[in-house]
Amino acid sequence: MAKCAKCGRQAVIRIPYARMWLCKDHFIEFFETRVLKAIRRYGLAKKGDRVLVTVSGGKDSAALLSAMKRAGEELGFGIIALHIDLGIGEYSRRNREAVKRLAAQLGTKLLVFDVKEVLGMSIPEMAFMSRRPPCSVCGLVKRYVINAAAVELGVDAVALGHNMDDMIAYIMKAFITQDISNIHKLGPRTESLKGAVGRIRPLYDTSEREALAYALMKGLSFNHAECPNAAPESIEREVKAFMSSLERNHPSIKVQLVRRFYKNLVSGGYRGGGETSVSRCPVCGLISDGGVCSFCRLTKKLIGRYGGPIVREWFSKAGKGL
Amino acid sequence: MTRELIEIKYRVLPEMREGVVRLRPSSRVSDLLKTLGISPDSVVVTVDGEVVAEDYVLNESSDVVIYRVVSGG
Repeated sequence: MAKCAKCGRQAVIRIPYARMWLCKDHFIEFFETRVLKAIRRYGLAKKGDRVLVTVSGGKDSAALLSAMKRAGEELGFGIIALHIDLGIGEYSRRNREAVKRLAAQLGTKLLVFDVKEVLGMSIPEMAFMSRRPPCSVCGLVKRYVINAAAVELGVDAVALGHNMDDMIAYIMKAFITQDISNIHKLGPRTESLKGAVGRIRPLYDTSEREALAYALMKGLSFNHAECPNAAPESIEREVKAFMSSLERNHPSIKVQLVRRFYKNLVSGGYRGGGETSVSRCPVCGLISDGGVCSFCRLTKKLIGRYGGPIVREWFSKAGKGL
Repeated sequence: MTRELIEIKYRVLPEMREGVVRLRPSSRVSDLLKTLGISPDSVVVTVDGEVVAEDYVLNESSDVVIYRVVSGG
């Protein structure tokens, strides 16, 4: 049986790109150190910061919250967890329960934003009534709610659970679809703008499999389920399968890709003509591509009122209890 | 001479699929995955609730759960 490279005990996992086997305790240490190093390497959070950690209920965000709690203790920043209940039947109910257990397990502050309760409609209802694909409505609502929460709570950054495999899939998709103007958003962090708080991705250097293994080894509460609306044949899914087979024959190619991509980003390699104009929504005051933002337009159409000010007010009140 | 095969029960998440395969005694997790046509780098396997490596030796009382690496969305 393979032995741990650090202590010689029985190994439970192999890290192909590092060419080593690790036992449970040393893998947990390896994962948390890797997240800590990513925070330092990419300047994601610093002493005195408050970071809003988005938690869906899945393994990535469970691993993220746990590793961010550890990193916060080490580096001196605080964290608040945010869960958005999307109202997608049993899937959402299980996610919400998993997140509540996780926050209790880790002793972190948790805010739960219930889309149906605050806006009167769940994501499936919004998708049906607006005749838009559920993933498109879900993405729009989540992005808006997360940003509104960050602005109202006055946090310094929003941490997302995107792992290395997710980011490679997004980067490759941006090349495949030639969506080059948005590629600058795919690094480990985006800057804060007026009306938009910067996003950070502390799992940028860790693989999806490592996040799952970490969540299992730590005994974290998470819901290992796929969203019932997830497209079975998405570009992202096929890119992940292709990259996994590439990694098998070329260990470390994935981590090299995200690191080189980051280097090109910071050296301005993806800047050419890619600047998008940023303005503020005249209704809610948050970031918009121009005119009334898509969230306010969507909610006005669906519930007869602009949802932006409603969401902002909800977080303004909820934030006072923290 | 063929030795008697052992039965290994397994569950796969998130599909909530379960099954039984017959393997040679002292078979490893990697043998189980190979029989099922699953690539080891696409899953994390637990036996009796603990994460184990591909070279872990299985027995008939092993409670095997295969977690597929998938995004929740």
